[in-house]
Amino acid sequence: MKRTNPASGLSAPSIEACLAEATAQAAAGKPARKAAIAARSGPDRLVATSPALQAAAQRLLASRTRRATVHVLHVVPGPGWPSVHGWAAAPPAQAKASATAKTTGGTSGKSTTGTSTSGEWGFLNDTHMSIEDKLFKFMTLVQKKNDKELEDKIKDFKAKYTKAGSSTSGTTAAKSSSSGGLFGFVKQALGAVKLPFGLSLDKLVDQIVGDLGPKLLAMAAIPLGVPALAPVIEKAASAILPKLVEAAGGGSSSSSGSSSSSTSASKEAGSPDEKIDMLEIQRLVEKQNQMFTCISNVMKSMHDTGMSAIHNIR
Amino acid sequence: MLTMEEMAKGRTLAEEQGMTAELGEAIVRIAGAELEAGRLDAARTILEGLAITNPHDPAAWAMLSQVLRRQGKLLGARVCAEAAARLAPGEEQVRLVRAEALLGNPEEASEARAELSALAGAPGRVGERSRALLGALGA
Repeated sequence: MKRTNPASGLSAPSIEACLAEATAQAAAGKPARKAAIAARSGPDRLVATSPALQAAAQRLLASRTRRATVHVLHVVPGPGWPSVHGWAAAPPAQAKASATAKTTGGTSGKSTTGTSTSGEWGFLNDTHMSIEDKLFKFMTLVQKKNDKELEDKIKDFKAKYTKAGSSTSGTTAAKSSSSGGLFGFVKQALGAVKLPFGLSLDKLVDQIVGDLGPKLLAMAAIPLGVPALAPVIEKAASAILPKLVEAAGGGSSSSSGSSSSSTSASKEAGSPDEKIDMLEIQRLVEKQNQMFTCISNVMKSMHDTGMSAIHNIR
Repeated sequence: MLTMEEMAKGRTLAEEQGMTAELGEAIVRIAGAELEAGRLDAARTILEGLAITNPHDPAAWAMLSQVLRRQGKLLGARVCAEAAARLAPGEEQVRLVRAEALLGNPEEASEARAELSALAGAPGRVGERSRALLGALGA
C-alpha cells in the first residue's frame, strides 16, 4: 500500500493525504510555516518526502497568513440534511403513543393492540363479533404472517446458497462474479471503472477487509445499496481476515496458497450455516402445522361443549 | 440481539436499543472531540460502534472516514466516505469528506479537485477548508 518515493527512498502514505494534514495543521491555528515543516519533516504519519509535496509545502510557506480551516471537520446534521432513519423515536413521542395504545414493536411502525377496534388486530376488541369469528380471523392473520416469514426465509436461503454462492463456494467463486460477493461489492462501493490505488482487485479487497473488519464492511453494504449482500460479505470477510492476520504475522504467503485456504475455510464455514437455515425453514413449517392443530383443537372442544349442552337439553 | 439478516432488511440496533437521533448526534460530537484531541483509536472505536448501531446515519460514516484517513487507512476511508455520500449525496460536509478521501488515490485526484472547486464557494467551514486544500494543491 505504502508507496516509495524514488527521490528519497522513503515511503509515504500519500502525498495528497499529507497535504490535507498539513493544511489541517495550518488551519488548527499553527502558523503556515510550522505546518509546512510538519508536512515536510514530521514523524511517521506526516512523512512527506516527495518533490511534489515539498513544492506544496513551499506554497504553504509562501502564504504565511493562511490559517484557513478547522483542524477537524465536525460532520453534524444541518437544516439541509436528509432525514436519517434507523434511529428510535424520541422518548416523549413514545410515551404519548404508549398512553393511547400499547405498542407491540417499538418504533418500527407495527400495529398496536389497545381498546381501538381499528387496525390489523382491532377485531379482537369488537364486541359484536363472536369468538369463533375472532378465532377464524386471528388464524387467517397469523397464517398470513407465518407465510410471509416462511417465504422471506426461503428467499434468503435462495439468495445465500444459490445466487451469490460465495458463502458455499468461497472467495474464488466470488472473484468470478462481478455483481455479487465481496469483489462485486467492492467494485460497486468504489464505483470502480478503474481500480483505485493502483492495486489489483484481490489486494484491494484484502486491504479494505483489513482496514474495516468484517462487521463494519458488512454494515457499509447497507448504505452502499446492497443490503442483501451484508451477511454474505460478513462471512466472506471473516474467512479472509484470519489469512490476512496470518500473512501480517508470519510473513507473506503465496497468493495461490492463500486463495485455496480461504476457499476451504469458506466451505467449512458455509456448510453448517446452510444446515441451520434449512432447520429454520423446517421449524417455520412445523410452527404453521402446530398453529393449525391448536386452532383445530380449540374449535373442536368448543363444538363439543356446545353439542353436549344441546344433548343435555334433549 | 439482531442478526445480520435482520439488519440487512432495514432494522437497526439503534431502534432495538431505543437510541434516538439526538443521542447519535451527541456521540458523533464526542468522537469529533476525541479526533480533535488526537485520540484516533478512541474516536474510531466510538464511530465504528455508531456506524454499526445505525448504518443509515451519514454523519457517522463521514466522521469515520476522517479518522481512517488520519490513520493512513485510505481505502477504508474511501469506502466510508462513499457510504456517507450515498446516504447524503447533496450534503456539502459529506461531499468534502469524500473529496478528501478521493485525494488519497492518485487516479481519482482530478475528481477530488473538481469536487473541491465546486465546494470552494460554499459558506462556512466547508468552503474555507476546500479553498485551503485547493491552495495547498496549487490549484
